[in-house]
Amino acid sequence: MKDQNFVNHIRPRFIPDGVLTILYTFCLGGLSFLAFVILGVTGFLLMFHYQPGDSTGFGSILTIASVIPYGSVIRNLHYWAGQLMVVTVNLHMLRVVWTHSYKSPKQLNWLIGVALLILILVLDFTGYLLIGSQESGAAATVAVNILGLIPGMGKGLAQIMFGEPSALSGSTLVVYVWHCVGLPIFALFLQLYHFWRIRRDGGVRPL
Amino acid sequence: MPKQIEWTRRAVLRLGWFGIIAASTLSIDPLVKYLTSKEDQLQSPLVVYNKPLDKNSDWQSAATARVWVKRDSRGAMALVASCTHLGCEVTYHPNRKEWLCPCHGSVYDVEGRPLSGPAPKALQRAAVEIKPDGSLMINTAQQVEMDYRA
Amino acid sequence: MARSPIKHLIEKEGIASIFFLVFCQVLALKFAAGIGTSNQAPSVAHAVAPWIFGPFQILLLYLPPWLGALVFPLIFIAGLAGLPWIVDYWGVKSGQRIFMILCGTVILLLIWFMMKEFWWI
Repeated sequence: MKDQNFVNHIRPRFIPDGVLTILYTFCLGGLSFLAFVILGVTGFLLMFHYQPGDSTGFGSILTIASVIPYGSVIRNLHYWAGQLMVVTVNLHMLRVVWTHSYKSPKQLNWLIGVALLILILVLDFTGYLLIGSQESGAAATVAVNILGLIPGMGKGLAQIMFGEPSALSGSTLVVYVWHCVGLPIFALFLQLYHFWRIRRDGGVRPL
Repeated sequence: MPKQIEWTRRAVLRLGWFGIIAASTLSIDPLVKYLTSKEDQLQSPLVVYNKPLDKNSDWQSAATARVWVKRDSRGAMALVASCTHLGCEVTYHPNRKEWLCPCHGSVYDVEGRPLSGPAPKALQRAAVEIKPDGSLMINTAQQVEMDYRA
Repeated sequence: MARSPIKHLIEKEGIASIFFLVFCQVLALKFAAGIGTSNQAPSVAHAVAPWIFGPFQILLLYLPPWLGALVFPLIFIAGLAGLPWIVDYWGVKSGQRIFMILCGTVILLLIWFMMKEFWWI
């Protein structure tokens, strides 16, 4: 059982009978993590064929979706797991409010949850930009202009977050790096901390 | 006896923390400069339009950039097709004689003045230079008035 | 309270995971993800935001950008993040009510977006 050390840390060996019912949580948090794992695996696979960039992004998505064997399934899986994750994450938040699980002493975990929610939305948005279609270019331009409204640091922030997307393609190297490396690693660490805090705060529920 | 600094565990840890905080503060500025550098994506503000352009033509798109050109009896003009609301690319619809923005539905008249939607001001005009061979050189960095003609 | 080994819980979680995986796979095989319009093609007349960001598009239609896209979301995030403390100060009832108002607003905007785009397409 040596390889289960971390799991043993976040879950006890015995639990009260009452929490066995799935209706407590509907497993929404755990399913969100499962979706995150699916997204990680399919995203890793997509990286082998996707080429970020103004002129290459959309073309490589087309190639993945139509030419590469099983490319469309992997991409669809990535897309749908992402859509479902946004849904499960939001339902998970509703459940937490419903069961009053955000209250002291669990406020810190609630805050981490809110941060994760924002991260997931940003991940969803950057993923949309990487399609590199006209619509993604419009979305990127709108986002850059909105961030630019923040006085002082807005322009620089937009540059760091999105690079210089054209109005006809949101696929830039900067967005790619954030979507595939920066944000997922950050989200993964926050999630592991999130799970560990559940045990620390004394909770055992269906994930 | 001179006073000596005692290297207790606490002092070392405090020094370590101080070092980490100092190093992070000092690296903010270089990091921001590194991340916001645009040296690898230089974009020239100059756009060339070298197709024949009739007198009294309607707006024509310069396919390589978000610039449209037109010529009337007084000369040539250029318009930058970025919505003044949030920067989406507007398109000229010749049958309606209007510019439409796909994102939030702003509508501009044929001269680029806002008619409806959230757009706050008219579409930007750019300076044009007519070359000896008849092609147009548009400088998108140089903003001009609506009645400007080359 | 009676106690049972965690194995029983893990079994249920496993069943839920399998359901989720199958559901995901069916969606992926049945419905292709959207690709949008090529950036070589002529500009589209109407760009629809992905549904998750529909509320933003609605807000930007009717509010100035700084209000709709900066102040409004910041208020939302602050209200969300501060929920445990709001509950501490004003009581559970008003805290939950504030949360419901925030979520209700977003859902209302989302429905508004879906109705509008549904008619538009």
